[in-house]
Amino acid sequence: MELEREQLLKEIMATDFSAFDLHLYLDTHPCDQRALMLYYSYVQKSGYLKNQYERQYGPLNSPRFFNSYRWQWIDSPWPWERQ
Amino acid sequence: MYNPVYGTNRLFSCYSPCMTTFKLAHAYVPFQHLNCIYPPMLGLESGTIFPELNSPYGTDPEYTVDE
Repeated sequence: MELEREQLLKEIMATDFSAFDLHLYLDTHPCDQRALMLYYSYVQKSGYLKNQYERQYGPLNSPRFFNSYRWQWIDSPWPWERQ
Repeated sequence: MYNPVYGTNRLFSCYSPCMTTFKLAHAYVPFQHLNCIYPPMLGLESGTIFPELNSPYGTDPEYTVDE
């Protein structure tokens, strides 16, 4: 379970990194259609993975989805609570 | 007296004689073109998703200082 969580987190990190590296490339190549397509596909994938993570394990950053009943940020294990 | 402003002093050129026959060094950076890119996980580990930019420190002795 913990391993799956870490794996998903790492995948999110890797996807965001790819998107950001393409972002830098696009700053100097703004009309590169292939880079644009790749960039959007990674942004989309990142959003999908983040939704999947937050459904299973709670908010990643400060909550993106508002829950009027409870402040869910404190529900995820804190770094010192993980084994 | 040395006058650094070009063309304003006929006696003392702002270029020293030995520099007149050679052009100064010009730096250039080739324009990057998108070829293939690494899959995300390999990109994260390499620090870049572009294989042509992946040059880990220490692999090329010419660009390695402390070895």
